[in-house]
Amino acid sequence: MTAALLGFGILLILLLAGFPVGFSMMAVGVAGTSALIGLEPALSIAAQTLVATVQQYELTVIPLFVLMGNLIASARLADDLFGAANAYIGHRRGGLAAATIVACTGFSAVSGSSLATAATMTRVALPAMRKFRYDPGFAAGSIAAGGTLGILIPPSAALILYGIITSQSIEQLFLAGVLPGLLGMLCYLGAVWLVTRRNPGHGPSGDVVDRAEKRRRLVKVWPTIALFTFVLGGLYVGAFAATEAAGIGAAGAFVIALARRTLTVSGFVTVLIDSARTTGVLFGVLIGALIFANLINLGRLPDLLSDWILSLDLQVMTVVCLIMLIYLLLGCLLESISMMLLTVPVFFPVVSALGVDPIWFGIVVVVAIEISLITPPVGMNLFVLRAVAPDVALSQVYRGVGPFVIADLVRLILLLAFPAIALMLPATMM
Amino acid sequence: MSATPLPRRLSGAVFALEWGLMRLVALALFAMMALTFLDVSGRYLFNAPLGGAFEITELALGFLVFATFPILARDGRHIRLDLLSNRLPPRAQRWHEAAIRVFSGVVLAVIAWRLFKVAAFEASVGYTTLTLGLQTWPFLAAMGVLAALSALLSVVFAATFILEPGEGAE
Amino acid sequence: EDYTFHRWLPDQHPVNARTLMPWFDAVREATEGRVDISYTAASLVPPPRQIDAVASGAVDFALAVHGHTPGRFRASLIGELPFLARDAEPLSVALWRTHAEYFEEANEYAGTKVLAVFAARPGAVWSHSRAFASMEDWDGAKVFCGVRNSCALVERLGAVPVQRPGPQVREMLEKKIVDAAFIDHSSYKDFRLQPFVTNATETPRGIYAATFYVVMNEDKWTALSDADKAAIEELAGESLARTAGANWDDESRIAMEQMAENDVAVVEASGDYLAAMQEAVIAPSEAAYLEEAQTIGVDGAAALSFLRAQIEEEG
Ligand code: NA
Ligand code: NA
Repeated sequence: MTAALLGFGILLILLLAGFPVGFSMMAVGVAGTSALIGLEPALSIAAQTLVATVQQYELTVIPLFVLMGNLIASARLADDLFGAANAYIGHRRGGLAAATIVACTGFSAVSGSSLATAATMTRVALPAMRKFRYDPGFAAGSIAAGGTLGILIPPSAALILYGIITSQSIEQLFLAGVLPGLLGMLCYLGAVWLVTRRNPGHGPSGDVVDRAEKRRRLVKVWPTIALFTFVLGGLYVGAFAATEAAGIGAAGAFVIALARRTLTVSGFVTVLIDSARTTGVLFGVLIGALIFANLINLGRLPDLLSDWILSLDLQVMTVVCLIMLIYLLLGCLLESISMMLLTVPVFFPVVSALGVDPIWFGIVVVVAIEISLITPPVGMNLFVLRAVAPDVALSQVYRGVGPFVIADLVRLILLLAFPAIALMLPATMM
Repeated sequence: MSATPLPRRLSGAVFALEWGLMRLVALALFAMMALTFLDVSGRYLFNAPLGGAFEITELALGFLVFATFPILARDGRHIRLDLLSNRLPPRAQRWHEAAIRVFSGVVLAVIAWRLFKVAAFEASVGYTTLTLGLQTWPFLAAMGVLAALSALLSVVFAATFILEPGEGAE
Repeated sequence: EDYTFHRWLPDQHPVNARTLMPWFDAVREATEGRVDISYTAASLVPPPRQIDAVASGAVDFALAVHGHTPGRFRASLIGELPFLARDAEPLSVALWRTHAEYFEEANEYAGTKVLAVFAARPGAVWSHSRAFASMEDWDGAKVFCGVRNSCALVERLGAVPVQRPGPQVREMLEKKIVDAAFIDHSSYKDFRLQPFVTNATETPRGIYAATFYVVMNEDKWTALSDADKAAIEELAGESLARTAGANWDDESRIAMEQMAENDVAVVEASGDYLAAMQEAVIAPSEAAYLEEAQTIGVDGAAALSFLRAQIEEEG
């Protein structure tokens, strides 16, 4: 227990000092376990954990879903999604921002990563919003927020990792993410509507598009819909397993990119390399988190925390709300996936002991870490946006994202109050 | 944040290494996609799944992850928080960058050492994969070599931050 | 003193709940609390590396599956041979005696003290939609199998092995990715396969079995007093193998009652069908085993006839 708590403290200092998250967790994890069971056994367990992680069949979905998203981005489906959404709502006040949110939702349905969604949509939507003199902060905020949907709407790297560390069904988690994702879209649209109602200058109207053009642009969206339907539908009816869906989805995206002639051989190699690098970065954190989890477990932290919470005799919902509060606070400082990997091994056994639905808990955790993507000072989507559009000041982005954070909190409260929003779809599966 | 460029011959070697590794990870990822696709479509269309395809996919994943580490050693794009670095004066920033890379290098070196140890052990007891019966140690040793290379590169790049500041230094 | 037993199966799994946890209590009592064993809070190493975690001293005890490390075990894989026994208890006792008589010298468990060797109840064929009632039914069918030896059986029976890690059996049956699965009876309820299984095919002597072993770190064992060693050996070995096997049989009976309640149609293979199955698998499997055992200098043929004799005596 002392070793585990001390480990958390030292880890936090290393992270704040800017040391790589994954390597820091590995070093602290090994140091802590060696205090408990000796250095040689600690190193031996760490090596076994590492090997088991990088050769785990269930985890092969990570690079394949990343590849699927990158292939889709290279096939320029995001442009079509934005074009279609824009044709229908762009001419209203704040319409381009609303179209951005809708296009982000669509893109999230074929991409597993929030960062990829934010980066792609920045390239696609920011120039249009600039042209119509949108408030830069508001424009940036809508993209950063819309981008967070990438890890809630399936496919989702975050839900896969949650499913693997808690032994929950990835299909169930994917299905559970659909409605909360759509609810997120509605809340963001609400935020756009409120902001432009108060400050009409923030989001001037875009071009009006005639009916033939609208139809033409809508038709171009079909590959995205087809791919999403094929992958999620295949999982739903049970044509293939979650571990296989990623390979099928990537192959489907590959075919779409080939058919659209957007993919050259060297472009394809670049997409493969980029996807592999992202995978390497994710696994660096994942291996570290699992080695650190060994320390948490050997230190019996979850048992002790459970006993303590049970002794307090709190309402289950109070405990979940407290955990969400911890996530929101930690989320200001920590990167999203690392935060989830670090905390779920501690909290999951506790809420399981309290009888909380594991699928629903997974969804609220992912919603909480979605918020962390756009809360300063460390919000990965804000950084991505800055990297793609360096001339937008970070302070403007921080201000612009405010209304969307509030929209997220509203959604989180709705999900806490009505678990059925998440659990309705998975219940239809059996 | 700019570092001193590497000496030309070393730079050429590092470039060649990274170029080669990038092609290999591209190949590994493509193989993972193709094998999964062929396994599933073979099962449905021809009643002939690829036996053990999933095991190759697993082994490819291990290789892919470790082969990206030498590439990540250069740009330091491992996930980290940049709260501190941006607030430091330029000189301190360079030392900070160097310290981060030395730390990563030490962790990677320990990983390499332990991977070699596991590889030697598994070779001695003759562990094989469950379905294809492939020896496990060559894959572990390959990961060990890649980890060792990453450790070495991390230290090399650490040096570029502290040895004679480059002309582009802020 | 406190000792750790590595946990990788859930607490409620019968082998934990019915066999091992009561055994910890018995050991604690017999050693007057000097050997106090408890589970680790979570799994620290993957299932196939249990014995290494024990040998390296990371944990003190572990339960492991021979079939998870095929390269390490050659002689000790004897329990995976087809058509050995119907019940787990005689098979387990016979396996322990064979281990003590023939395999001790081969040192396949280096760095550890072997406390027990036992088997799950030899499995049947579980299928959905249709029965496997004749050799033709096997032709081209997709069959789930967990390890190399059981997949080899699938192939020798003329079917297509779909090889996946054990716990994936539920998903593979649920999604009808496979037509049938090779799995033991207890797993029918432990993996919650009830909704996806409509037919089962049994034989008078099982078809294949998964075998297990329990090991303790060798240094920790050496450090024990002679009295504690004697007390533990009394409770381990044949005694633990018998209890484990009997519990597995009992769990299988519970599973079979559930199967009856769920109207699973059971085919008992006999006559020509059984003979054809046996002809397809027994000779090649045994030949492969004898060759493997030979490589480490074990007389596989003698061990096998001893094993069979012990099963007869117990069964
Ligand atoms: Na997504
Ligand atoms: Na944040």
